[in-house]
Amino acid sequence: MRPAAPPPPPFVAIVDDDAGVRAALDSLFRSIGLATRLFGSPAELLQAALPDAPGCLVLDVRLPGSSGLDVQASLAGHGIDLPVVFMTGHGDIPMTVQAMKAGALDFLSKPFRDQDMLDAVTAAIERDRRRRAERAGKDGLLARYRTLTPREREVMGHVVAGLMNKQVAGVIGLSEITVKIHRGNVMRKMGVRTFADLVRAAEALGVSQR
Amino acid sequence: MSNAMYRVAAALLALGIFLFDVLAPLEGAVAVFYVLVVLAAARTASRFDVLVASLAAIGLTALAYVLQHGMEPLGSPALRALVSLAAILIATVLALQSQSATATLSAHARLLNLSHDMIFVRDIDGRIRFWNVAAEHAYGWSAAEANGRVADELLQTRYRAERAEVETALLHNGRWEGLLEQRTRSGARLVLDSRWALQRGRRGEPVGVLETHTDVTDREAAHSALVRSERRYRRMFDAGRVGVLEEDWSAVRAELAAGSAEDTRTIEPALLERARRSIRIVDANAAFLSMVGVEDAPQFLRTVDDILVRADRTLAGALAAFARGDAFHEGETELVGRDGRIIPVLFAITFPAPDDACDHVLVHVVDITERRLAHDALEQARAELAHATRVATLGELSASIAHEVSQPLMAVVTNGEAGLRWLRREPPEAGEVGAALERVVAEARRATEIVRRIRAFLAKAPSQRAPLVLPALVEDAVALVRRELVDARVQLHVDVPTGLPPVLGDRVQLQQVLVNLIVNATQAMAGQSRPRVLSISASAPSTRALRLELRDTGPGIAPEHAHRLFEPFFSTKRDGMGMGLAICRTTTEAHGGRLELESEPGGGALFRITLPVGGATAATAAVGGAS
Repeated sequence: MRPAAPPPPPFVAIVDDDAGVRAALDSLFRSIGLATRLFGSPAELLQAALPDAPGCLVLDVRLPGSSGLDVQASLAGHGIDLPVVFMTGHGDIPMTVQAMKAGALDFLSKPFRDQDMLDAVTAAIERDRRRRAERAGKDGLLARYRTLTPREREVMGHVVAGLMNKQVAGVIGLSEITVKIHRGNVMRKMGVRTFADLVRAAEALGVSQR
Repeated sequence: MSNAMYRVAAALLALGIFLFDVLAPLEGAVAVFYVLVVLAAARTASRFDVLVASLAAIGLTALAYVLQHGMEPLGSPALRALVSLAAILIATVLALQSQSATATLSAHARLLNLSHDMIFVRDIDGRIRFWNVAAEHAYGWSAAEANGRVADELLQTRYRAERAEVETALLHNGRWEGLLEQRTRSGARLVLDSRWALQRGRRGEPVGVLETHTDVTDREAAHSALVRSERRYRRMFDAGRVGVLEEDWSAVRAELAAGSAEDTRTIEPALLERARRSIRIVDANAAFLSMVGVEDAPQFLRTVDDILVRADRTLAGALAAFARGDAFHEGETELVGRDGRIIPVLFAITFPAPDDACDHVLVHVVDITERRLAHDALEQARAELAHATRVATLGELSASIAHEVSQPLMAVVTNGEAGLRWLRREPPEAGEVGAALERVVAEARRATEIVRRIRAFLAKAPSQRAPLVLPALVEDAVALVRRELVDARVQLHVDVPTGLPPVLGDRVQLQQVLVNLIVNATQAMAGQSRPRVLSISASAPSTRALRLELRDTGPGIAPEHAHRLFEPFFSTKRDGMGMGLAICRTTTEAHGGRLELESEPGGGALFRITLPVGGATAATAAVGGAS
């Protein structure tokens, strides 16, 4: 693993076609020390390079060119999986429901209290931070898993599925001694000390547990 | 008989008498018959012929005596010869005298023949004795046919007075003049201006009448036509239901001739003021008097100032028309009645022709109080319907308008809260606080402006006409539907030049027309995958008209719908009220304009609004307002 760099500051990407609203949100977020990125349309956002830092999106449900919901859908296609906080106007209830189903993190009706917005954004950023950390951990496990031989992966699959060494040996057609050696290698290579840790790592990796 | 024949006859007669005198064994004064020779010669009307005949007769008489009696002593034959000679001489003298008189008479007759008047002489019994050439031509009878006929019978004379009175006047004064009617040979009726002169004999007894007639049939017909026409117009003037004023504009003519007043805009308020007092009311008919509630015209109606409201805006136009030499000018204004009542009227001014010395102007006036009331009621109903439709339109737009209002409000709140946070930081960030506050002010202004537009659009004010420039009109309308266009992802192209003249109209109503058309176009294009473009353009097809065109790229209007599109309660929308386009059309027409549709199915719809230029009227209004 690389040595830990100083953590980049969290940011908020704001997408709203109304310059006045953008400027106001910009000021609000900067006042609590968040970095901001402003976009007048979803197209601008999709073309932009976002910082490699925890962040979130603040989107107006009504946007020119395409609706906020469309944006939400196309974000994944562009490799952006930032949490989204939606702003809605009066009478946008159908859209709200739709956005919630699509996994929007939060909804704020205009005009909202600043604290509500800041809380929502802070929560979204925290979630993104966790998600990034999780992804970082998962990335490490995956690298370790790749060092396993095919036979070791096979043994690991059976072990985390709950089979005894003898049973594994029976299934694969090896001696129990050999299975024990493979299992020791798996524990060492995956960097776990207990069986429970191994099961958790397998779950995180989605390793098949027939 | 010609002169030559008279001469031959005279010569033959003289020869016969001579032979008879010499050869006949008569002891008588045969030579006396030479008198006949002289008289025959006299018929030639030549003095020379008379003298020749006379000398010949004397010579022949003497010769016959010498041949018969020679130198015998003078006796009774000589006496007879002397008597004959005396008779010849006397006849000669008389013939010469008579000839002289005849020459004078025929000279007179020739003069009378030269006259264009019909002249004839009749004796005291009425029989025609002379008949000139003009009479021959006019009446159709020759002199020979007319002579000897009784004039009144021949000509079927009809006197306008009693015949006896005419006769009495003639005998009393020796003259009579008057009009009478006679008929020609062909039966045509002549009206004649007749002058009679009585001719008296030596002792003063009446012997004949010289009648001179001038044909005045045409003049008489023209005159009576004039009289009839005068009566007819008088009747129209007096008894017509339309108010008529006769005004004297001569004082105004003098003033206008001095300056150039052919353009309404160059007429100064002071001139207008003077004109009000210098245009004199000469006459007013009963209909007009009852209209303004005046019984005694000369007392209360002196000048235009007495009847025209102070706020009148039409006099300047009338003066300009008068200055230009127009024949006619019309308009709509208000009069003030004797009791102070304001009377809306339509008027039409007929100016005299430029070469007419008389500067009297006829003004026809119709009281349109009733019409105005009906019109006002209709206008009010229309305005209420238009208002209801505006409310409905905004209802349709409520979501986008709510968003439009909430945006700046939200920005205000957020900027305020951000500003507070910058202020509470340690240390406070004054620059950020100031910037936030500036944004608060700007956003609040923006919200106010949006609310003002909406309130103006929903205003239920009476229709007000004011000069409006198209760019501002279009901008205001577009501002109301901007969000709707954005939501529907419609691209808007506006091409409205700023140099166009203004229209005269009601801002809100015209804005409503535009909003309706824009919303319709937006809804028509909703859901289509083709580009959604709305183009608004303006142009001036002539100096008197302005044109606004709204073209969309929607599906267009189906032909079977096109002709019903402007009918009330017709809608192609499922939940449409069907009033929008009907209101648009009546509004445009109430502004003196047109609203037309041009559509090819699949090629989008084009709505064309044509409105009259309101500049000139606006200038008049300014002049009227300043006076």
